[in-house]
Amino acid sequence: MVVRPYNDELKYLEKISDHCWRIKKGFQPNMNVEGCFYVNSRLEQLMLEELKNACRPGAVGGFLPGVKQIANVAALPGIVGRSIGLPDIHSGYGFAIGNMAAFDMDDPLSVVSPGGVGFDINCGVRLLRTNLYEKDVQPVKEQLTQSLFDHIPVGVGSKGIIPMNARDLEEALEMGMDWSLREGYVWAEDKEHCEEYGRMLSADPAKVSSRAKKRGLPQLGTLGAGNHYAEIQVVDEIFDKWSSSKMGIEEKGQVVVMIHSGSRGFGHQVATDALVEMEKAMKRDKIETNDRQLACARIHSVEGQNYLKAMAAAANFAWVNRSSMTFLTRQAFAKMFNTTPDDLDMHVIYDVSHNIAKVENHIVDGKERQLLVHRKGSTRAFPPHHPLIPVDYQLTGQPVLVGGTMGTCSYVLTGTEQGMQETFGSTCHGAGRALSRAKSRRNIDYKQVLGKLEEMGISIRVASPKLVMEEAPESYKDVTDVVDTCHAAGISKKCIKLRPIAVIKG
Amino acid sequence: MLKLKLEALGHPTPNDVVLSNRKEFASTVLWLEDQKIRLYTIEDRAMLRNLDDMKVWEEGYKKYCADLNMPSLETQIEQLTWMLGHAIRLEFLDDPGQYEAFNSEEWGKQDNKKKLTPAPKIQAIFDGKINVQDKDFISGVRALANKLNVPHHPNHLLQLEAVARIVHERLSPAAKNRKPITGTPFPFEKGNDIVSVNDPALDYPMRILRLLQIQSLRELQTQINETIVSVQDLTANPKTDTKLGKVGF
Amino acid sequence: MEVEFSKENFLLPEIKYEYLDHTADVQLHAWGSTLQEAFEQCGMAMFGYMTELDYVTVETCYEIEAKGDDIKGLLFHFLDELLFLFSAEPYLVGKKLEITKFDMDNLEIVCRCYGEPFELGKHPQGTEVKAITYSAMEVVQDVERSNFEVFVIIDI
Repeated sequence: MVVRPYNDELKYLEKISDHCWRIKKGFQPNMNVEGCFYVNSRLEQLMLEELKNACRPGAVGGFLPGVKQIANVAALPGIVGRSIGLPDIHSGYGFAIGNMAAFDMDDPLSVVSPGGVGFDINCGVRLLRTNLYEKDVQPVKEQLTQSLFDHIPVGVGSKGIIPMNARDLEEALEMGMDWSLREGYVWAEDKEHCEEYGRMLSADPAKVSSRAKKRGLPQLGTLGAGNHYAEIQVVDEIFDKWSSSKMGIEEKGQVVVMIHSGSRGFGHQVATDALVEMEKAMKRDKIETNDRQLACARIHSVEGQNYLKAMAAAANFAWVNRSSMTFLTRQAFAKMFNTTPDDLDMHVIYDVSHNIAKVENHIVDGKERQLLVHRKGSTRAFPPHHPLIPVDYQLTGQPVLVGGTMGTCSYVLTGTEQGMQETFGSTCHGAGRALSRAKSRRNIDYKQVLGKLEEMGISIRVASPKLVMEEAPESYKDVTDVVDTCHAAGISKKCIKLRPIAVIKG
Repeated sequence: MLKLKLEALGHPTPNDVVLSNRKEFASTVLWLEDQKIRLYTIEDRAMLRNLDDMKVWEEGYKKYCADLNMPSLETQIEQLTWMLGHAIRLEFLDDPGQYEAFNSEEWGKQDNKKKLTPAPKIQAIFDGKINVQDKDFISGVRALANKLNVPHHPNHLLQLEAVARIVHERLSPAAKNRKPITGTPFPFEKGNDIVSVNDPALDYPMRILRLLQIQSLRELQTQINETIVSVQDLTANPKTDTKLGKVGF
Repeated sequence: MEVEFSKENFLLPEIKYEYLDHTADVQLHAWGSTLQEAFEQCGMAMFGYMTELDYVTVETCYEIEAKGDDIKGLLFHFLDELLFLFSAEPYLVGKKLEITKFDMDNLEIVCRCYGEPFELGKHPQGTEVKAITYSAMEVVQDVERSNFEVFVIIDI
């Protein structure tokens, strides 16, 4: 890493519009393209402060500041356009979380990087609607929260309650949501409202280590821990009436359920295995990166292809996982209200992935090109009429689900044409950490957090009290700031604001 | 569309052509004959030139239509559309080379394919047993189209296809029993999608085409869903076993 | 694999690890008078993050093996094996780790893990460890002062 005084570093950064900064070449060595990041004034301060702290002499720590990480990604072989930081960016392993980058599929030197996807492959958000209103749920809120908690296994060491053997797992890895459909855990319409229709056809379970499968098998159908959650939310504000009605959201107060989870230990192991493999491939192919953590392999190398096929299997795992929890959620609601999920109109509004790499076609410099788009902590946000979005959203643009943190709001956005042109159809994914976990534990009191949630009328069931402090809203960037920045920058459009009334967490 | 065609032919005031006015129509026809079609010698155009006495003009126009071999078209707009098409064709044939640049090879191939598809489709229906080029057949199609208000098209087979769709979607027993669609209509001119803000002539038809495309996609997706559901009837057996893992406290 | 052991004279080691501040993840810092001890402590630190070790009793013992290309690789694979022991059959939480073979020439480790399978209701749920990372990994070997330290960031 180049170490320069903070003021010298600033010379490489230029504010090009109210909400966008440019990172010039030279900020980090060997940058093939420029970088950029989207912020508003408050998030801008956080970004620059992080950089400033890293410039202090004698600063040690695990990760480089987010800006530096964006620039290092810009130095990877085959990158196209710009290395883009979304407003919720925070530093992560190799790639910052909230960084997206696209690589030219036709360039033989282009790379795929597991660090650009993240350990939790196909971590994502699913939103279910209901025809209930807040007044219907309020009297039974505590019981409903408990019931949800009794239906969905959460937290460290929890095991799935959907019977599965090794053969079932192999099939699920290959078929994704089609497996859940075949077994009857979800509805035909659910598949339609799912990114990639809930199945990556490139998945090859044979490219996955038995270790990953062993870790995955007991965890299928579990929520996990950390920032994962299932929330009962109510519609707090509708910004775009037409689009929200297309999603079946008609009025304020309508109740929805948000599930935020990923591919569990399976995906984590796939990523770990790939990083080990790629270290070797990098030495062999003499791929040099600015940061050892940016382990990568050429897309068309054996390691690159193996990773993409295993990653697709992990993506399928995550869809089956969210589908299983959809099933359990519907059961919990049906039992509570003594009716069927059908009569509660519990349809999937949409299901997004915010940790994934995909082959997509984009227009670059006026020409259509096939790119490998890495989105880590970034959500796809395709504009109206894009052929890859469901027919029901052809006029509105793809719904983008942005999950908040425990106790804060969540948002539904829609994709825009401007986003397609500026950010390869990508936008933010959530709040993004601002405080470290240890700092959160030291500074925030467990009881205080729970008290505050109760004051806000939010029921909570959590497996680990420690998590309550780590995941307290204070530890995160304000999701409203993040969403407002994306809206103002035009890379996605605000549609619905959701407010939680019940949370279950690891 | 008329305006675009007039513009393409170099009409001096394409925006001002008011078609409700017969005189205006007459002068447009004259302009077309004078400048573009030139079917008659200058002397023979006398009757068409007589715009002050519309009776004489109408007589001349009747003859003109016959001499042009114009099919019998009812409305003024249809007739003008036909004449404009004819004029453009002539203009093109004067110097086809001039337009070669507009026609890349690829595009040409696609265009050919599109042109070829409708005819065989219809012919396949009749299994070759009916001569679709027979005069009686053609006039039958034209009459049917007239009854159903299907606009004229030089290719009667295309017209027949349009007739078939109307019959299928509006007049068939299945269509009659179909419940009308309820719900809030989506004002398609207000969507998040931008087609062409400055050019309503492009914007409007594009939106309509897109809606039609969405409609047929929706039909396809519904069929897919129905298929999945019927397969699920055979395969689905969801179960949970809480002994496998502990949930709740 | 499961191995037999005697519960007699079973001593628990003192704690020589801590959790350090880190933005999204957590950094394990462990030390000891030998590198072997620092490694053992680091493994226990990881288990300690997933549950509270006070609630864990020593009922069974499993033996794992790990190899690496260099010292960091060895530490990485050692922890990855331990994580796997917890994440799949037998879902073991190690309360005490004992490295029985620490071959620095061939970079091989054999370690005995004493503990019991994780059980909801009995063991409090801590934070899930997604993966071990090489990020800012450090192995300090000060032979003269018998001071050995390791720093590892785990992704959570």
